[in-house]
Amino acid sequence: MSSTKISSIQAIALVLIVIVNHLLLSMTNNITSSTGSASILNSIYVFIFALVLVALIVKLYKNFAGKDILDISQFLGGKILKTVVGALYIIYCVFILSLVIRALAKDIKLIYFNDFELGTIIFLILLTSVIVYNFGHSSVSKCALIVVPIMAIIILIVAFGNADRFSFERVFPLLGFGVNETFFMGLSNIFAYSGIGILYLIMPMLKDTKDFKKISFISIIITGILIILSVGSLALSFPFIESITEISELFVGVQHISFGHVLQRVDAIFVLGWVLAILAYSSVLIMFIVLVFSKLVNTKPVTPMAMVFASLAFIFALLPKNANVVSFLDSVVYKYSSIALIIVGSLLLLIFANIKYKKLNKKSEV
Amino acid sequence: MKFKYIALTLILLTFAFLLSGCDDAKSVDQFSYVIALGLDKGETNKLKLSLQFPISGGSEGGSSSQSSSSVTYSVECISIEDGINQMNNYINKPINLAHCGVIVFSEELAEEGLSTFAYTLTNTIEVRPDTNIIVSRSPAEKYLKNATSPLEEVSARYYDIILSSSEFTGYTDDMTLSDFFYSLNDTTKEPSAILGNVSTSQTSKTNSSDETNSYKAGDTPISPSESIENSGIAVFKGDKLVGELDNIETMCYLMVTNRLDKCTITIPNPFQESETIDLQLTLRNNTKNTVYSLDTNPYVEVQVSMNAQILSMTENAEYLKDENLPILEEAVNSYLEKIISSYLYKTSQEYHSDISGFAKEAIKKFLTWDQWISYNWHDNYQNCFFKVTVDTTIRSGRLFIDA
Repeated sequence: MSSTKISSIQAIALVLIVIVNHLLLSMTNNITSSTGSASILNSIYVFIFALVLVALIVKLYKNFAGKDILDISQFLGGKILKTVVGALYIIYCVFILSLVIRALAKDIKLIYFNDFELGTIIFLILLTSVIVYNFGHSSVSKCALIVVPIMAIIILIVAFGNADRFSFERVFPLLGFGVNETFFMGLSNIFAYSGIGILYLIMPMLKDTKDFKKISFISIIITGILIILSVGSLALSFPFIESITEISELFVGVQHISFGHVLQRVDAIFVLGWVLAILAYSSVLIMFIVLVFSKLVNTKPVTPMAMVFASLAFIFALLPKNANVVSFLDSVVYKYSSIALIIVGSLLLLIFANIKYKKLNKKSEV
Repeated sequence: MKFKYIALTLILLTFAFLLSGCDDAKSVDQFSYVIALGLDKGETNKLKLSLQFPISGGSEGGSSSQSSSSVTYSVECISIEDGINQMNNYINKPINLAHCGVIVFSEELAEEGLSTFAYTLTNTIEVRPDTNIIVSRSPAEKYLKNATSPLEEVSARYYDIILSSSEFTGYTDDMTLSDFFYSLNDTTKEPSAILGNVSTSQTSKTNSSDETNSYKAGDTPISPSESIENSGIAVFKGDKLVGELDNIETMCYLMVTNRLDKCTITIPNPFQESETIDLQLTLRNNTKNTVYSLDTNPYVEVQVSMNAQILSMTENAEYLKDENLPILEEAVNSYLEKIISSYLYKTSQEYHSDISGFAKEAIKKFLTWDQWISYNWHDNYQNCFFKVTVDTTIRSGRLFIDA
């Protein structure tokens, strides 16, 4: 297992592959169900907030070039804090990995593989991811780099393929469920940008740490565009209905697309891209889980570790009893754990580390 | 190195299991593909489910022009799934709805409400959201059994073709399961469906007026009869059928909702009483609908702008002359204003159903969802006042400028 450095474009792909997968599953559902007709307004508002957040992260990272969130935790609170933060990141990543794979396997089974066992689909996804991981960090990020543009194109097709169904009156009532739900409670939709968690881990892997600013902004801007387009397409194409579909809303959207009599069932292409995206996604998450773990226990990241965490994800993915539990984990647990750990927790850690850094610098100057 | 062997063994084992799974894989010929599904009220049970299947090679070498290339089976059942299960047992092949082109409901069933069926069918992953919804004035079973054409082999494509005729006739609209389902849940539009019927010599009527367009499905005096006909729109309030629109009202619906491709109308000739003029109409600009006051009597203004082409010509007709053109345009305008107003008041006062979606304009005046819901547009729609303005430009008389 080689751990070579990665280029800026590969780093951007790593951030995007996480977001694209969440977008394909239920992110749009979560956003539209919480904000109703104001979902486009809310998406734009949250995007601006995410840009500010990333600008802050980039600024705060200036004193910690080449360090990831674990190094920063160690600097701030010693080994104990590093272990706590590392453990939280591992738990979070295993949780979202198992959740996303379970949700996708459920959807794929429903759409095409009715006779397959859920466990078989999950096993095949994780097996492929471990095999990709075995070829090294570079291979994982190259896989993501290949899949991200494919998925971006598919998302654009979904966004504009339904253009003939667009009804711009669907943005009304402008404030959706109200000012509070759109702008204050609606800020919780920042969870959609939880892919920035990758930014906290990616620094030591970069060929040139000076590119961090560029990577952060480009990945967040592309993320924002994809989210706004997806939410916008669905909000304009379909009337607001309290979330009733168990399946990905983007899939529901793509079912309505046909290009004349030539290409009538675009959903098959969508599902193919979706499977590729999940394979890239799971190998990326496994890579980061192993990286964090190996850093915690001071060992080299090796493939058997990936197998262990893939097995854990396999078990957790099979734990939810039914689709309702998966939906709860997705719309509540994932949403708020992302906000707590990635958006708020890691940022606070970075702020306190900067304060400590400045204090230490002042002392050394004195 | 060890890992490579382990990985290789794992891959080989996985493929061994996966490939051996191919023996029970299902191929196309192992399914019975439904091309149309019909639902009637049952006689001995709650429902009567009819399924139409294509017969492979059914019309090959057929000498009769009416030879059927499809077969329709019906079963009394308590639900759609129950019916499909019973049919599965009878046909001995799993029934697949992936190629179902239309879903036909009988008028009797539609009057009782289609919500359960719309939800069930939308919840069936095999059923495409673009499957057309038809409400048949005759039993759905009869509709499917008469779905034959000497010009076209009955298949999913057959339904595609017969329903696409609305693009050049304007006699009905392309209404899908997805449109129906979302309208059921939409606060800005009531559902509607294609109106169908089996045309027979008993159903067809002789129209005494000169306006040949005012027919509903099955009314058209056409021969040979005993074939299906789709004209008009079935109007719903919530999930219940409340009324029907004829051809000309359907054209008005298409004009108001900006869904008109082209249509032909016949108006009284302003230059010669007892004569008529045929015109082909297309929308010049999108129809502008505005909702003004939002008290208990909403005021709706509809501005339609059309392009027209004269189709019928008579000797010495000088329709395109400077002095005649405004008279003809005015005749078209007042005719269209009259029929559109009549259509709007019919949907509002008689059917209480906003199938045109004026609520999409009304909703703009509200800031939050709660305000909009508490206004209760669908109940206030019956109190609407309408003002219709039509601006028609006659572009040409086809080959003749003057005759």
